[in-house]
Amino acid sequence: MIDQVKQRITELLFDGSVKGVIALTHANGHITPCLFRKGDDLETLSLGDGETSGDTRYPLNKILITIARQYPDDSFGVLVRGCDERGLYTLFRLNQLEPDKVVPIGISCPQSLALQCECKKPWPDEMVAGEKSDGVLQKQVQEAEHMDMSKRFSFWRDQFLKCVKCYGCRDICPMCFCRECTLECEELVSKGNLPVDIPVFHLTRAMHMADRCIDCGLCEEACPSDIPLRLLYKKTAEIMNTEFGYSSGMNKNEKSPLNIMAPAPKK
Amino acid sequence: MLDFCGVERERLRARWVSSAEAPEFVEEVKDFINVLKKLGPSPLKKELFKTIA
Repeated sequence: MIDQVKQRITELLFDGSVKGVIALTHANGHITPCLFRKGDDLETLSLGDGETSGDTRYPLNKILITIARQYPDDSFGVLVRGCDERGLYTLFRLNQLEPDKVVPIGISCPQSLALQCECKKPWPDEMVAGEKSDGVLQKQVQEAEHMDMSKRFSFWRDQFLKCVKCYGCRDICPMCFCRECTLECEELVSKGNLPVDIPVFHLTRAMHMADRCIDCGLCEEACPSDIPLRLLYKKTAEIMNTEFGYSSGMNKNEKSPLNIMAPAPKK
Repeated sequence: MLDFCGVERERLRARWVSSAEAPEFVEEVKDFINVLKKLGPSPLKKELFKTIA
């Protein structure tokens, strides 16, 4: 699988269709993001296999945004999984990246990772290497809804109380690109105080994720307090889907219902 | 979302009322107050006091 990816990267770099490729590398005993350029050695290229297949993930799209802002005229390749590709589609939609300046190099995720991530689509549309794994049925939201009202309340209260307000969920999120962040607005979120404003802090972020979250789960991986953030955003995504039939990043050219001016929905 | 987090959904209300429709606004607020009185104090408020104490 990795050989096909290496070959594709070499082709792209050699014919000059991209200036560089953002992927992963083995360096100093770790797997880290890396920008490969023409002539670079691809020997250390990694597909994110730390302990098990594909368990090391990074928000490569986010790095791509930073680089693309610096070099607006150049094209770049980027290694994408299913979730990353959903992210790319959403970033195209939100005008953060230009589709003709990004060349995705798609790889599928192994079934074990798909299960662990509860991923609904563990493969990208444009795949360079790998076999399609099966999408995983979404169950977490329904399980949480089985709790009664007071249980739900105490469950989320206990989760939110753990928050140390490190902003790690926002910082790792490939969909969080705003230069000014609501969560730093002192009128809404008090600065320096713990516990956080419950539930304002987390629900504000959940609202902002409504038509963006592509369910990559990096926020939950990054959270030092293990707050089930993804469950929260899965719920907003579910509401978007039942109300508007919309799923962020699932279709390349789909516009968000929150950005469309249209007549009021019929009751 | 509030409901999902265990807070009654009736505690949040969004209505579109024109600035020229004062009576409607009054009605809306009165109605909301009645609903809130029935619901009683928010569970969030209790929690807030607990964490401060």
